[in-house]
Amino acid sequence: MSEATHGRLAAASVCLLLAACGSLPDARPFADATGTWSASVKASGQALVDSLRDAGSVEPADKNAYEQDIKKFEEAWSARIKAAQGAVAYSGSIADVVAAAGETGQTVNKVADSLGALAGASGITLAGPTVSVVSDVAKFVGAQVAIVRVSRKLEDAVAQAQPAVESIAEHLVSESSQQLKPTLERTYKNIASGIKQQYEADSNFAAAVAKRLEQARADALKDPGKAGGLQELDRMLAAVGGRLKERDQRLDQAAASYKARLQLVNALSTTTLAWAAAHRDLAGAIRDKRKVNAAELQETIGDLRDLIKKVRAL
Amino acid sequence: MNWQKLSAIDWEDFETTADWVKLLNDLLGLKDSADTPAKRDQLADKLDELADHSVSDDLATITKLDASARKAARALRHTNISQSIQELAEATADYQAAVKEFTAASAGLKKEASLLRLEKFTAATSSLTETIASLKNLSQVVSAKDDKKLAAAIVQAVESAQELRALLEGS
Repeated sequence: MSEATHGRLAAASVCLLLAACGSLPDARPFADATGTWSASVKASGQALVDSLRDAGSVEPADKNAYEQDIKKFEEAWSARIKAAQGAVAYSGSIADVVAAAGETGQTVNKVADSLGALAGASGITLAGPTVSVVSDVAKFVGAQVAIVRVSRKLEDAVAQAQPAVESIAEHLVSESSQQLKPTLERTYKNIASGIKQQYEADSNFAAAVAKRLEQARADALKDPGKAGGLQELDRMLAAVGGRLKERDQRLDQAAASYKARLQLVNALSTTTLAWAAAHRDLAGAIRDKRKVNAAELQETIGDLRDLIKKVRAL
Repeated sequence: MNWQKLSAIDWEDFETTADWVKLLNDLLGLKDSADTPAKRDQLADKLDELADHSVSDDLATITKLDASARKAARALRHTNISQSIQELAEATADYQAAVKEFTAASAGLKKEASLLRLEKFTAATSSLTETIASLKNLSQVVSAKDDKKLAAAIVQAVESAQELRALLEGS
């Protein structure tokens, strides 16, 4: 065996050994996808707020209150942005720890600290010396953080973080349903109410004529000589038909905008859960020493971006 | 009106302007007990529905009632409580102003109808007086010997007309 051949075999043996032991995967794709998601969350909020501000049809007397409702929505959305930024910090931290590839107590502590920080950024206050009352979610996440902290290996720490990550994601989705959707619904209903009020006189006139028309039709059936009166009533209805058509178009537009805003909020929930799923994949990738796959998260972010465009276009 | 009845409102039950006035009064009366977001939303929806369903030939009144109902509905949906209270007070004031106008117009119509009735009574009484006088004149030229039947009919007609005039004057 030549020296060169011997060298090649030795190198191959080292490679095989390394493959068997496995090396930690690059967690950057997960961190990068989280960054993209966070940017999309911020863009979604801006699109929604702009869309609400652009929605005309608000009665002049309601403008002040409407603006305050939008500000309240902005505040609620800023909590989502903060949570997404917390996820960016968490995923960046995990990527750094994985890149450092250390299997020390300090490594798992970093994971535990990052997880605790993510909970805080998501509005979940964990138990502490200054906290007297904690929610059920906070108790659960706090317990998981403690479990992560006593993990011996990085792969265990990230795997034990998964239930907490899922719980945080579910908490964010639930908060969206409880805060953002009712605000959007009330805003839409007030816009519709304002539109209808602008056409109320026409609508009431049409309703009164329609009532007479109903009677006139019954009379005309009994006595065809009275059919002439029907045409007169039809002409009266036609007089306000244009205005009512205009009202209906504006109502349709308001309904379409509301639907698109709601879809965007739902898409945000979908991406939040997709982020938790991507974290599960990361934990699996670290355990199995395989490549991280953030494709599903990227795909849902693509859907979110399409909806941002839709909301902006309306 | 209470919260249980609120969800069971049948819009077909309301026909006259007075019906809508009363219903809106009942709904606005619930605003102080709307102490949860769900109740505020429910009441707001009913107020908007009232404006959607209300119909009356008194277009001015019904449009004002609808406007106050919608204003109250929107006020209930606002998240800023002090703003909401202020707008609810404005909506209630608008409602009261509309009802005041409606009541005054109704009273005016009643008065007008009453005057018209009096005019017609006076005209009928005056006409009867003339008829009685004419019949009396006629009775003087119709001799009982000439036409006994006609003379008796004239006397009877005069008595009936006098009786009717007395009744009208007494009304």
